[in-house]
Amino acid sequence: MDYQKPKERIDKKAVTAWRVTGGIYFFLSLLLIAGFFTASHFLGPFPRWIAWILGGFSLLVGVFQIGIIPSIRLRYWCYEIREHEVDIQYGIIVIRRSLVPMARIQHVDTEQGPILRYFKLATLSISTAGTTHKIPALKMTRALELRDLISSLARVSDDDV
Amino acid sequence: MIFTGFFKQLKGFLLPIVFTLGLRLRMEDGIFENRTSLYFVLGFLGLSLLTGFLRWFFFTYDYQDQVLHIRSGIFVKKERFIKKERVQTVNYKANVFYRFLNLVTLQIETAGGFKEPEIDIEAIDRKKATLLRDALKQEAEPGEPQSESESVESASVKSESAGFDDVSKPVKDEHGKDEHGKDAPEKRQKEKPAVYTVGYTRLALAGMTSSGIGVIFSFIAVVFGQGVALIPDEWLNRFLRIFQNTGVTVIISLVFIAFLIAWLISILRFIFAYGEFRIEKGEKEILIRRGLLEQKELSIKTHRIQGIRMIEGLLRQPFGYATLQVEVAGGASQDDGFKTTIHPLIHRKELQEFLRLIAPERVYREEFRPLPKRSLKRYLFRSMVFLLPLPVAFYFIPGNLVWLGMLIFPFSALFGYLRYNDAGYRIEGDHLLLRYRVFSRTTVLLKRQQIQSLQTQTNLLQKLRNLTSVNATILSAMMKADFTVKDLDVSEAQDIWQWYRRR
Repeated sequence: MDYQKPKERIDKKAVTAWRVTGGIYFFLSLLLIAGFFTASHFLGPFPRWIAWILGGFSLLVGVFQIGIIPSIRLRYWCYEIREHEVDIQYGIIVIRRSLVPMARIQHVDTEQGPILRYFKLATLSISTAGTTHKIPALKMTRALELRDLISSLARVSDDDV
Repeated sequence: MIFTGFFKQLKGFLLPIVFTLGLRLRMEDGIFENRTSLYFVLGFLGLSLLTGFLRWFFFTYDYQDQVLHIRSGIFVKKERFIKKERVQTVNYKANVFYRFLNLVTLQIETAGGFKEPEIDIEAIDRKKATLLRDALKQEAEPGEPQSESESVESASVKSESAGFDDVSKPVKDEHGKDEHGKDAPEKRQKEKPAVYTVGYTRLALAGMTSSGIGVIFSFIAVVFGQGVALIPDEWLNRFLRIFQNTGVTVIISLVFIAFLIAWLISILRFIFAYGEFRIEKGEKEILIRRGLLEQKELSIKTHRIQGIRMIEGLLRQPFGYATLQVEVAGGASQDDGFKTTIHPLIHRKELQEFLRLIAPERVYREEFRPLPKRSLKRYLFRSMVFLLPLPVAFYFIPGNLVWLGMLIFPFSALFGYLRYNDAGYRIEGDHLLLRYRVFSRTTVLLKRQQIQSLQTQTNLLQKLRNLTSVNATILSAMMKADFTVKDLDVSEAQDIWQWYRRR
């Protein structure tokens, strides 16, 4: 029985990329709070506790998003592409493991936001007729390589079924 | 067509009109005392009549050289050309008016899935509809644009069906043998289409046990509520006076009567919706016709069926009855709300026979692998945890009602237990059967080749107890449908995993 965890891991730079993303969200939430205070200044005083709750919440989320979660998430993310299937496992509190047979795969894409592009990373997105599975933050070259590999394997598998 | 558009719009606006009229009635004594409301209503009627006429006037279709050409639109003109071989299914629909006038709505669904909506040709003559349908279907059936001779046609059919379920075929034959001991009559039946009908006693039974009662009951309650506002004050006062004298029994009997009415309506609704239910298995498609007044006829290509769902409602399960639905790939052929019912109420004993006739490629067995004992705790926990804030709420509720509220605890516990007890799976060759319960017990019949992906979900608490949830995704009319059995033993989840991996 091979029910071992998938072997391959995503790029270490993902942590930095996720931290930057978290940082941007944190910055936006700070802007929101600043906006609250400006509005409060011009439109008459709003109750302070709203700002406190907002601030506390965004600080908490910020600490998690920037400091804690990225490295743990990296440790839990793994995947493996075998001849007949794609095997993906991720999740910290709820561990999700998906198995996608090659024969079901309809197309493979790579996606890149501005942050991922800066770090030369890409997300591989694998679609069956009904579901989409993503492997985030792979090295750009690796993502392209995997994309070609999967699409060729999927094509071969198609003939078998 | 002029009038159908008109009625359609009228139906849409009926509720607002009734409500505004009702409000007016309450505020003033006469409805049309205020002239504006009269003008409003008349203007609306005129306008919808006009748009109905214009829509009819500008809607044309013709069929030439294997291309269906549809032109429509009052201001924005829309033209569509549909090639014959793109047509997937052609369904009929006819409401009471249409049936009276011998008209139907032809629903044409094309390949190409979710983005392109289906085309409705509304209110055309039944004969013309049949002609058009036959013309469209003839070509759609063989799969190739040109069919030269019969032998070529049948050869192409064979290869196609082999392509679609080559793995399922031997499996089916195997089970056909060990299930019924004889294989030959099954094959003979295949040649002429198998027809299955559902009788009215059965439909009445289905209506009696349908969960639609709740909805109708609340509807009646609302109508009663609205109705009270329409009753003149004098009557109401008199009524209340009687009420005070007789007390609680009257209230209870009133509720009981409302419930009885709801029940009857639910039965009638079921009979009207599913009356004359008839399902026919052709060589490559299933044809379902139903409806006493509003008639619907839809065809489902067999190879697009992704799974069968058996739903045993709370009221039905004790008597051994269930509803059967199919999951069909693509946005087409859904009945109501993306579900296609292939049997409104089937008895457990009839299931094998029915599947053999209608979906011989499916396998169903009664015995399921149960969950490990330690899952029970998690099922109970899940069904009880939302009750935790309740004791706090009880603090604010007067004493004698708390006891009523307490009833919810044993009920939730019972449901937790039932959910645990019913959950399970079974692997049978290339077939995976999953069973779980939310309120109704649901069993899904899946085929390995049709499962799009398999997922396990393990949270930290499950991991401690060596449990995991298994989730299988298939295609359905709404893109996808997924089915989850919670808290399986990890080793059993691995069995399913390996079964799915196997080539």
